[in-house]
Amino acid sequence: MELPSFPPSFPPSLLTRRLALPLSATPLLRLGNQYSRDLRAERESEMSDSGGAPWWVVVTGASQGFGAAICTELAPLLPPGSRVLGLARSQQGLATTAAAVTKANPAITFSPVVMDLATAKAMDYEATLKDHLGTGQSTPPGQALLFHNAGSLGTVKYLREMDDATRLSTYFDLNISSVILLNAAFMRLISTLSGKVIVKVINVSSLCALEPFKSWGLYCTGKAGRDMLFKVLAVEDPGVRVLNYAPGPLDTGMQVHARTMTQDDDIRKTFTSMKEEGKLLSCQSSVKKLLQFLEKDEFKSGDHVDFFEV
Amino acid sequence: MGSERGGIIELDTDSLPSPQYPADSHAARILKMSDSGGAPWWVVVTGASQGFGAAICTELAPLLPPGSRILGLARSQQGLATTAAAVTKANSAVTFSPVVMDLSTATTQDFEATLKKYLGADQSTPPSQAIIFHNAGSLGALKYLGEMDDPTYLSSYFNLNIGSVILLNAAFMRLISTLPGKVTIKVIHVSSLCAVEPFKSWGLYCTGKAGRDMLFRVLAAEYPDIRVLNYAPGPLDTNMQVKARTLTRDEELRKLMSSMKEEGKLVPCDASVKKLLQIIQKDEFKSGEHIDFFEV
Repeated sequence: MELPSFPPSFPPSLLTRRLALPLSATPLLRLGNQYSRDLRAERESEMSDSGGAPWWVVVTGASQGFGAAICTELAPLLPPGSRVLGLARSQQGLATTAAAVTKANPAITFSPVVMDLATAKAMDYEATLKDHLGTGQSTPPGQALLFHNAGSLGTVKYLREMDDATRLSTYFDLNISSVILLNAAFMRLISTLSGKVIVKVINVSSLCALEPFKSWGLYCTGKAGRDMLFKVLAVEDPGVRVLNYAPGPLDTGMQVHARTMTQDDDIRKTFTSMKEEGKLLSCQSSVKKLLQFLEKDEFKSGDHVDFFEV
Repeated sequence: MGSERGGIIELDTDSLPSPQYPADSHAARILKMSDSGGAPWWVVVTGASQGFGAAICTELAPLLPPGSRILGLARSQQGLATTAAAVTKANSAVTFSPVVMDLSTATTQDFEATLKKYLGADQSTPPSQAIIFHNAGSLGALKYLGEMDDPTYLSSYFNLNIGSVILLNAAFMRLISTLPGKVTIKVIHVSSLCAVEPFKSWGLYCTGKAGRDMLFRVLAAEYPDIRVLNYAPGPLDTNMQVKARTLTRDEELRKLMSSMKEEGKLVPCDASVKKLLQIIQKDEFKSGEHIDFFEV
């Protein structure tokens, strides 16, 4: 069995494969892109000036790792008065992020909110967004960004060994359903604002959304499902900029889990050697690339972009 | 489909026609599935009460060696009874076991007990092939992602469309691993174009299908000895399709689905199943591959 290589080469992904379909099936495929072209002109005129109007930013999993790095790297780039809402389970982690954000830019507000995404209800999201960002009556932000970063590897064992229905249920509650619910609450809030708001939704994806990894069945399934979720979002809402960003192998708590708990020997050794050979990426460097990419704003909404491709 | 949100549309389920394959026919020679030993096969089909799942049972039955067992899982006892009758008519030398089960709430113990009872209990004649068709699934609420607000509903949706597949497949593989001798395992996932392309107001279905395709690619990578196929059957003329053309929130997509029906562009289940069985029989696909009805 071939070991995955980093930086990876990119075989054609399932999600971008072109099927050789007869004419009768193609009308189904044309639907997706139809509105994008119409609205591009309108969007381009909006992007030129967000003014100094404050931004609203939501980051899940903001207590550590990539999520914390998003908050601290983005902070100095935000207009004064901007609000960053950080969701996570760890109060201590959020406090650390809060301190780092304030240090990076004291002119913005960071709101740490302890929340378990796996069990949160729609009204929990609605209330939190309302309390810390605003309502329909608020002055609309110049931009509204939502980073769906929180996630878990799940049980990293072979698929034949899976036998716990409750655990699986909770896994997809967190990694897929909570994303749907939070995103919907966020979009509903934005839709109540007067005036046009530039909205960007970022899914922290993974190479695992495109390539199978032995004993990572849950994570791969969740990431592949999420990439598609955001592709659907992109076609449903052509006015929103949607990005599936795979950050590369990061030097984080999740990576420690990967190299110590992965059942498959080959995969586990690959991750261990990446650490030993210094091939893991710092969260800062990957976030920087993501933010540059967002700023350039040239991607096709719904695209999957990898750190190593940019 | 059953009692899910958005309403149920019940259609009469007439007996499915049984395929007739004279022993010396071209079809019989091409499609004959049994190996030289003639040892029975074990087959599991989810959603066996109607539509594509029922067609899998009835199209496969005549091709199976005598003594083969088919386990059909679904929620509808009546639907399963119809399938049972059609299977027996197609091949009386094969046993069809209808088991009423709600996959979205079944535990591993439920799956293990059912598999053991209807397949594994009789150890005297181990199968030479064991095939599982992960066919059961649901469209889910066909509304825009911005309207989703019910965590219980979403949880249940992914329990059925992803969780149950993982659990049943694992239980199936564990059972087969206890059998003596070599058993060829084939795992067929009924996929969709939706696993590959996004459709407006079909966020749940697309997400589930894309996740499932990847699930089976991981399965293929983990177990190189088993044959894993992601098969997209094309737009089928089933109850699920009725729901698609009446309840899809996106107007354009809904009209497209309606016109497919009106213009006779829907694929009959038996036609798509026949293609699937040919692909399985030829056995040339790369394990974990996604193959669409229209590509073949």
